[in-house]
Amino acid sequence: MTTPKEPLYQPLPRSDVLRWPGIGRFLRWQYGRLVGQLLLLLVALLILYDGFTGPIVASENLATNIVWLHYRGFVMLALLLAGNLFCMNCPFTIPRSLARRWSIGGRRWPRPLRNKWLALAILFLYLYLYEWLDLWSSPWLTAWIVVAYFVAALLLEMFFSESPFCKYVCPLGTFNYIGSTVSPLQITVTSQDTCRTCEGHECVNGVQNDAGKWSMLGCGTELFPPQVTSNMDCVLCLDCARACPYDNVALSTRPPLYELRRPNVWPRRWDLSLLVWVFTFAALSNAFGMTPPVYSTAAWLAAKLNTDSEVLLLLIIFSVINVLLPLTLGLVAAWLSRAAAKTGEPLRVSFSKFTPALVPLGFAVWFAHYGFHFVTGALAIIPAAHSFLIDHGVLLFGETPNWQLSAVLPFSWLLPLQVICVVIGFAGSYFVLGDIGRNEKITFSAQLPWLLLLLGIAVAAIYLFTLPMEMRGTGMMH
Amino acid sequence: MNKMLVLLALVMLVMIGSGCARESRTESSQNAQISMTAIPFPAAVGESRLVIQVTDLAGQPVSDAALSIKGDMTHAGMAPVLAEVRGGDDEGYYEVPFEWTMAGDWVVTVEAILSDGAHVKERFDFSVLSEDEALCTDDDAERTPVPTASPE
Repeated sequence: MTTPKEPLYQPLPRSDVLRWPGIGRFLRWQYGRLVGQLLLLLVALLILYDGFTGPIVASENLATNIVWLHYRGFVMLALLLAGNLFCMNCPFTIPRSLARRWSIGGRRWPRPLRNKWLALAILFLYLYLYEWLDLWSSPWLTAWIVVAYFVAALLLEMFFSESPFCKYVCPLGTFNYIGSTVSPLQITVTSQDTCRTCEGHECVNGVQNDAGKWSMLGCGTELFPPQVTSNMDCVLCLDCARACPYDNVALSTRPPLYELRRPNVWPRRWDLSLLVWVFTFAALSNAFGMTPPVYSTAAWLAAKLNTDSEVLLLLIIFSVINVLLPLTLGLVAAWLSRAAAKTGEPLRVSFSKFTPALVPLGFAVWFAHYGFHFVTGALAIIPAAHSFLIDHGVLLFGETPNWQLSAVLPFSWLLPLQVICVVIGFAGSYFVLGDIGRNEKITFSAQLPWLLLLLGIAVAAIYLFTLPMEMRGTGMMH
Repeated sequence: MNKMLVLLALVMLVMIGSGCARESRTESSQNAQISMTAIPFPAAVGESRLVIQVTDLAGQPVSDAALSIKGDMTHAGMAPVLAEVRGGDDEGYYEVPFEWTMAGDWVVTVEAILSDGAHVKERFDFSVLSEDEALCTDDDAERTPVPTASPE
């Protein structure tokens, strides 16, 4: 059983989505999450089916359309407008109940892995494989990714008592956790006193019936609602709200960038901070991977190293951009900031305390990139679905898909919109930076290295978006 | 142990199922052959021409087919480039204007409808050069249309 060890926290009362008419009742309903999960399970099965059996050209296959266009576009919108809605409706965790029933050992996740290092490594690996295997171009590999998620989630739920897949492994979850720190919704409680006198802590521990079977699961990632100050690690499953016998859990609205601006919300750990840095720089590298300079960089490296191994060349390029560059720039900025502030604090603290300021800009760059793909191709799923129906003998909508359907906005609008995204992201980061400075009583000169770094990231992002796209990826299609 | 066996069986089932289903659903009859090149070659961003040759299985030219051409980028959602041509010359060559709208890897699908109504489909991979890269290539490329695009 889990018991709270930290002081309880209750933010200012704001609007509670769980009390909204209709939607609130649905979300609190015992099977509310399952409905969403089953819908996405159908989508996942469609991805598996078309990915394994359908056309090999990415634009004609539902798997590649859904995963690399619509999923990414909708996830970014959901994170910006509401919260971690994908994890809330994640189909990969449906086998969770099954896994609990089959649970082999019910062991705790090993203590050395109870941090973000593994998540960081897996996120890096996932982003690298995306580039190396050109995952976006292969319906077949896209379907295999979905299989891997289902198997990994089931296995880890079977072998461990909590939800280590969601908290420590899943790269989608890791991405969404960081993204959801800008979201306007957060789990909290209505009354702190209720939690203080509560003995069962069903929100975390779950509810078992007299026969010892689970009638309601508690929080899989073991968050105690009155201590939740951040969306990090919250999959928004609302199991806590359903399990609370006092109906005391709220899904509250919060001011823009609230948790990023508040002092001491995030623990000052290397793993968590570096994860955010990798998230931010990967936004750049992910866009960079589809532009001409990546080819010239690879060619230059190939000549220098006398190798044509794409595995190695891409590993070097993306290790530098995703890990070496953020680590180096971050440490230099932290060192300069610490020197300007004349504090003797550990470098880890200097590095970590400004890390939240990166999130709005990093999120904005991801949003601009995924948004580009979404608005240029959102309608492409219509001919792909039409073709799917024709392949299965359904000629209700005619025999010729309209392959010209794709964009929802004029192409000439895209670059200005991307620039606006980045500028808003930079403004958000600047805003957070200022608040951190005020909270920590740090002078402008000590903030300057971080400001320059943010400016550099914003300029690099805008430069990348002005480059012509150059897509790789026929190698894995056959 | 039983639980482990069930799990193992599930994993095996998925693997076997996916392996069996690798072939595309949309098969077409292959009673003709299609070859293709782009002019200029190597292909570069901008206006271009595709030269497609259709022959029967005996290697004789087929000049009365209707061809539909669809050029796709490798990322879903990028608008394809479409072209059509009806009837070729006596040697079975068909020529059609085609614009490469972006540099990078392309998949060009040619579907031919023969006079007997049979459908033949072939896919070709192209690496399209950017304008800067194209400036560095041999100016004579336009005069040497070698059919080196690789069929699927």
